[in-house]
Amino acid sequence: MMKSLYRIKEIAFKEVKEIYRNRLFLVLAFLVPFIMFVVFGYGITLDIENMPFSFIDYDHSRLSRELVERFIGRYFKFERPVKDVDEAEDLLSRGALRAVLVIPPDYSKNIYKGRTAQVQLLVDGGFPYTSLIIRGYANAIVAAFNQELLRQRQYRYGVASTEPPVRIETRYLFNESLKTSYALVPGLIAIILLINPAVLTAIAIAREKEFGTIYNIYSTPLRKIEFLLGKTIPYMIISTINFFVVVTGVKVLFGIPMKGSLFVLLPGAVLYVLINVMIGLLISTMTRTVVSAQIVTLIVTIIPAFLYSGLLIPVSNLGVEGRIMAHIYPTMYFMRIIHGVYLKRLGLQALLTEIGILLGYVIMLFALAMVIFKKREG
Amino acid sequence: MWFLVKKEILHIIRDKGLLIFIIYAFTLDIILAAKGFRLIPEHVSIAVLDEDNSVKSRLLVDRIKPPAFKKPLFLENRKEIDPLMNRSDVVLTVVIPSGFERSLERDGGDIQILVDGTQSTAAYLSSSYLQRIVNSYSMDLLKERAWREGLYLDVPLELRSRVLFNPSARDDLYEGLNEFFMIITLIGMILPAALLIREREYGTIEQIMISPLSVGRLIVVKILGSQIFLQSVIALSFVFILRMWLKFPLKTGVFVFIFISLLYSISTTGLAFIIASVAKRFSQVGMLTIVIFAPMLLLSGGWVPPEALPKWLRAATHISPLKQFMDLGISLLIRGASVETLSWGIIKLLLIGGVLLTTGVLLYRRQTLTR
Repeated sequence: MMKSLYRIKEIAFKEVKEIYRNRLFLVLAFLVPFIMFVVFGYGITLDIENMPFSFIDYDHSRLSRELVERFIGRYFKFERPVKDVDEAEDLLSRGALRAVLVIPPDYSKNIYKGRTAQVQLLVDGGFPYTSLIIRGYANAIVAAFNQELLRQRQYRYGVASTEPPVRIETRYLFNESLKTSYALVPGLIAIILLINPAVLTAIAIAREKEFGTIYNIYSTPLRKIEFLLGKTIPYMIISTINFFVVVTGVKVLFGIPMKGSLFVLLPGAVLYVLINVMIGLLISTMTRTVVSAQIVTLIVTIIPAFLYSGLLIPVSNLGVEGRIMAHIYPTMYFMRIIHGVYLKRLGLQALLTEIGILLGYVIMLFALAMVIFKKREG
Repeated sequence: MWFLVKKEILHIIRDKGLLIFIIYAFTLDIILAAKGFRLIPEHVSIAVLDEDNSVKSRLLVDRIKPPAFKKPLFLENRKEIDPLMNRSDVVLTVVIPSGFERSLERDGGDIQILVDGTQSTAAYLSSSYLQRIVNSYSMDLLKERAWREGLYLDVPLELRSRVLFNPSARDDLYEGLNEFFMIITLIGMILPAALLIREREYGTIEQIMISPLSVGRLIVVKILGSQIFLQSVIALSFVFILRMWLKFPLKTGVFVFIFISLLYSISTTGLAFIIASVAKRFSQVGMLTIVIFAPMLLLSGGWVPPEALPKWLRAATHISPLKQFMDLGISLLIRGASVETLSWGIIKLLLIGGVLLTTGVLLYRRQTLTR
């Protein structure tokens, strides 16, 4: 037993030395997660504002100016005057404008006569998500204007009541001001701790194979389990440090509070890092060169990290295949823990299922690595 | 020299791991992204607690239906709400309190919408959509009431949106192309960098240094080898995956696209040379690629619309080659612009590429010659 521990320690030390001598790698091991965090943290806001906007007013009335004034504000920024639809389409196609409001000549006449007036919004469809948001904002603006017009009409004709019969109270649970960053930035912890430990560890065994030093390992009394454990320990430590760096960044750089406790987050985080170190190790045992190990890791981690984690798209909204994938990848479970701790103030008790599942992954992946890694060629 | 180019291509093809994943990236990965990556919420999961259970409340609930929402999950009592929202099983819960119908006739009924704020994007869009449904229901009640009083009341103003260029707002088209551009970038950097580093890692660069092949020629060979391979894969993916498999209505032919893609590869190759001269080993290539790729992605406008970025970052988008490439690509493929109208974008792409390639090649030369 003691001998076994000693051998694990030696392998770990050898790996540490190897990392330490590869200076650039060492620097990058800490720099990459931090850069990813800062870049995505600042970038991944989906609150869309200041969209370049213009209008064509064929009506030139008080009512048309009022409508335009309601559009320009936080969401739409008046960019430049446009004289006709052709020019508008041209500017939209070049991406210089995102939306153009067209007010027809009979607009105010229709409203005064009590008919329905139509206005048109030309929207750039180049970015479907943005175009949907634009239509959402525009509809809300027009709806508010409609209320106002109805109230005026009521005043003039003495209609009984034009107050909307149904009142809506909307409550945003867990994220009262509905800032996307409150959910997205802590969520990045799961993305970064998926990609980085895996990429770092992926090279651990592939390197030995590529340089042929793996034959030294084959011929030692070292057991498989000792070798694999020893290999994972240094990467485990690096990634745990990175976890603390990112958690600090969430608080310091973005000022996002953690409603729950760090101690609830920690067990999940350690298990999650361990899982991804294992994924890296597994890929490492299956590939023969460092380059392919890294590429495989990037491809099996980056896309699913964003796609199936529930960060950008709720898992309950994915298609059947997507939902199956989401349940296979461990990220979704850790994302629940993160959101549970950061936004929902859940305790350890409420997250036991998720933590248990992550533990299951660790055991399964280690067993898999034991089966796949062979102490001989062929 | 051509047999040297052939050697490079053989290198790529013989590296099974690399080859399999380049193929994966240009086929399945793009298909997955196109089919799976939906930022626009559809079939949003929703729960309804209808305590009133009256005609009016059921009429309202009937309006919550596909494609925007899934068939609602009906709850029995308020105790079920908390665990449901804690597990994030639904994005929205609508609560219609008892007495809703009666109060409608008097001073107005209240309903409550609970939104899961942890699922921010879907939460925002779908809750505003739900509010619209309720408002239009409200408007219909109002009209009905005016009708009974012998008045004709109509909506004063109606907004018609016309979405240009991608009228059905197909996000599979957009996400698929987005992924395609990203893969072109990623492989475009890793592939040449891998070819350059390989010689150094295996020590075969020493052999080349003593051969009559000059460094300049070596560089040309590496570029030709990787580009011939890469552009053929891009063209195949364009025709078979985008056009035939995903049935994208692309408005530009494959040759025009390859032309733009070649111009773009000046930039990615430049970055590959920079990576290859900074990195000494394979293990560093992958990580340096992430360091460069992550900011490029952010500044590309593909994930985050440029308007949503802070001002200083928005200024930086102008130097991102991926942004120029994406703008050109989207203009050509979705908006159907002609190449001539995009000359300014092409010039910008060429300028950025020129700077990057010159820097990269100079760095690499210095690195190789000083050894």
